[in-house]
Amino acid sequence: MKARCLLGAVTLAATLAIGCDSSEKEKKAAPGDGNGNGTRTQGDAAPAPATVFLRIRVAGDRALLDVIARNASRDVHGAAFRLGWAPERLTFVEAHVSDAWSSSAIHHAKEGLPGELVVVWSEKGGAAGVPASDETTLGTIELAVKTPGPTDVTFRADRSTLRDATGAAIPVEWRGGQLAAPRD
Amino acid sequence: MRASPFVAVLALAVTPSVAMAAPSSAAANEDAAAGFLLDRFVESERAPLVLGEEILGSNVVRASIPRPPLALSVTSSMDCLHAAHDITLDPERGVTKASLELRVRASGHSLGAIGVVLDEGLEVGNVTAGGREASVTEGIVAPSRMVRIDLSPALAPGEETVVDIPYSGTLSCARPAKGAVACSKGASFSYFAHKSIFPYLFDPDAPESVTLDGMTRELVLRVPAARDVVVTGQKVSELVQGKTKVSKWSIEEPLSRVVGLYALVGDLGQKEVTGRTVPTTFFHPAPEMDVDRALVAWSGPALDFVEKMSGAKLPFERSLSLVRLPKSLGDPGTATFGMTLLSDSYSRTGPLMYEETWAHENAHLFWGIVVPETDPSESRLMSEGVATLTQLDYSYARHFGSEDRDEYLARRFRPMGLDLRLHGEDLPPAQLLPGTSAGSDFRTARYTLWAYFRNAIALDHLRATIGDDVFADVLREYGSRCRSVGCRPDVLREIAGRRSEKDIATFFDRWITANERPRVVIGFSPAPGGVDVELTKPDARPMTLALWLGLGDGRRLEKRVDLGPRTTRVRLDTPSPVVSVGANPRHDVLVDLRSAVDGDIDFDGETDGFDILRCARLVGQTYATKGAAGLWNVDETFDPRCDLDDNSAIDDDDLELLAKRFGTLRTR
Repeated sequence: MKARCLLGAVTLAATLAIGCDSSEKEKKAAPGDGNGNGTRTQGDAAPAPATVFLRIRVAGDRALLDVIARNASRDVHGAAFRLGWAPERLTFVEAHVSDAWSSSAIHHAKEGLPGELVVVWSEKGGAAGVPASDETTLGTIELAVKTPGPTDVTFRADRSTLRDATGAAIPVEWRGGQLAAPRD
Repeated sequence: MRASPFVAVLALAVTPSVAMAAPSSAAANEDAAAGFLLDRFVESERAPLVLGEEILGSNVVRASIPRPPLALSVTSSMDCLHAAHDITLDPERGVTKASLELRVRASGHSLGAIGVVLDEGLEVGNVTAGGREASVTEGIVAPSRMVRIDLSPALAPGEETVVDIPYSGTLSCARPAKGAVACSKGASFSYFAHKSIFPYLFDPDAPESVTLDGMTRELVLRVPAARDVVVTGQKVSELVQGKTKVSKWSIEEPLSRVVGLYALVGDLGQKEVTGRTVPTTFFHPAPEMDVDRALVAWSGPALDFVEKMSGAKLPFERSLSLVRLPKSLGDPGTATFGMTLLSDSYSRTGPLMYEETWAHENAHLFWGIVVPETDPSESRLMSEGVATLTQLDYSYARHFGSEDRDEYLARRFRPMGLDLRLHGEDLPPAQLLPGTSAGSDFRTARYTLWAYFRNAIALDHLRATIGDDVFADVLREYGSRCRSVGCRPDVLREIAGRRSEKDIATFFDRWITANERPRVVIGFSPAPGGVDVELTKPDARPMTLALWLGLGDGRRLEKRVDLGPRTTRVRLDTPSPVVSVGANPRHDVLVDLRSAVDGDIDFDGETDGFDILRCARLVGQTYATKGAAGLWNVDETFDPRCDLDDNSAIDDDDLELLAKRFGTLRTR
């Protein structure tokens, strides 16, 4: 881990799988995120990749994983993904969709195998999708921490997808994260 | 004599492009269909299967004919060998003076009578029959004159004679109570079909029998010198003798006596179709329309495609005539020897479907004309079935070539299969067996479902089963073997079995002479270097399926697997790990393929968000069936796999069923 990222008042830091630093850079580069105030750095010249990443907060024996999309080229009509972790360290508690979705959206989540969570969040029929060109929280996963300590939470990219209203896949990178050791 | 629409002209039809409404009621469908122009044609086409009630009580048909018709139960002994037609016609007034010299043989059993149908305005003169007594009985079934010629003594089996039938008068060209007109006169584009100047021949003692006899014809048409003329057959000569144009045509290859004959006379628009070695001319009524240029442009590719698929050149070496019919005639089109006709009413279906229908009709030049079925009342598998297959393949080659071909075909057949399931569950199988009733309610939409949809679906399922390459070889051998002599579906079975080395008899037992949709459950577990697959079906009869193996590197492998007993286990080797095992979706219409894991509709052996996402966006969709309109549907998005409760609607109930097993994962 390159650096710890403090998120609010949580005592444990979360990082993206590729490192917290890059997470922060990407976040700042995202247009309209409130950090750049319309200014661009040299790093902004290339369009930021569409990404779904985790923002992790840990409180006590609970870890909250916000699933966040950004730079999606089209509105997200549905999201399906799998998350994996060390089952001896973490276990699934529940999942919540964000209010970005309509009230009639489908949401299912189940730890199909120990350490493998299957999630789907989707609008139905012709309902409009969720705009996610800006950073948008799609939902939150709550895990119970069985054994404290650093541990990875990863997306299974081959079984993870964002779809638009036509059913076409929206190109996106899936970036997991890491629960860091608590700071004493 | 009461009025009757009877006359079983065997027409090789285009399908009705009608959107037949009222899905919940077959009767309502029929009502909706009744007003549709093209239905008249299908009614005529299915006539060999359903004899008009009235004719049975006429003075022309004396035999007791069982009703409803029983396939192959009544076979005619009338074997027409050759006909020489000589017709002098004034197309303006319809004045006709003609003769038919018919060489006929008794086949199988004695032949005591010959039936002829003409326009009611034409009267038959003194008939002679090679020394036999020929007595004539006539009746009018407006606008047709039905004639029975009794021969005394009757022809003994194997015996033949020449019957000379002179006839003359003025054509009425009246519109019948049901069906299309047989002729029009006095127009710049005058139309004369079978039952008008060309006598339609039938056996009065077996009027339903349309078993292939195989006759050749010479046709001479004499019209005013200033008129253009085109006639069914190959053009032999055309010359002007004084004020008369003498046009000679021939049908050299044996053809069923019931295949339609046409003459078009007037000021005909003509365009040459380039790129064909055989002189190919497109004829159209004036004025020229945009569709004429389109039809000409499509003709070369369509004819080339038909020949490519058939594996042989069309046998019309001297001429081929293509005709655009005006919709005012009420004849949607057909194919006959050396001639394809299509109504411009089809232009309303849009250029894609008009072109596709043009390909269908031209496919009949081969499938149904040059390569006839022995008995069209037994099966339309190798006429309508292959023609429908050809039109779908043609559109793929011309317009959808960038798509996955299997997915394209599955998509085209999906609405056809849904139509069949919703409206044709009780229809007879593709091949009617002796004693099988076609049913007295075998109306237009149901006929379309049977002749076009069921047959094409069965054939595509066969080629998915044995492989496209093998099927192409089967088609070519069938075409070569059955050319002019005709074949029954049994010949297809024999060739397909031999070439594929599969148990095709069981295929026929399931899907040609019966209507099955067996459920096959697919389970699998990845193994080193491949995958272990388990296939379960409800019976122990053989079946072959083209399995699709999805690989971890994104590739797809197709492997044919022979299923034996109820449960078949097989190890399949693969170059990279397997992530899914399903089947070619072209099997879907006739095989109820399921994953061993409930709710796993993408066949990866697990139920996850991918399964839900496939269906969630479709919530609210219903299959808006319109009777038998599936063939005209090129972009159906209704996904039957998402309709878990099979109620033709994708709704919350289906999603709940999907979600029940959500998160079922394979142990790793």
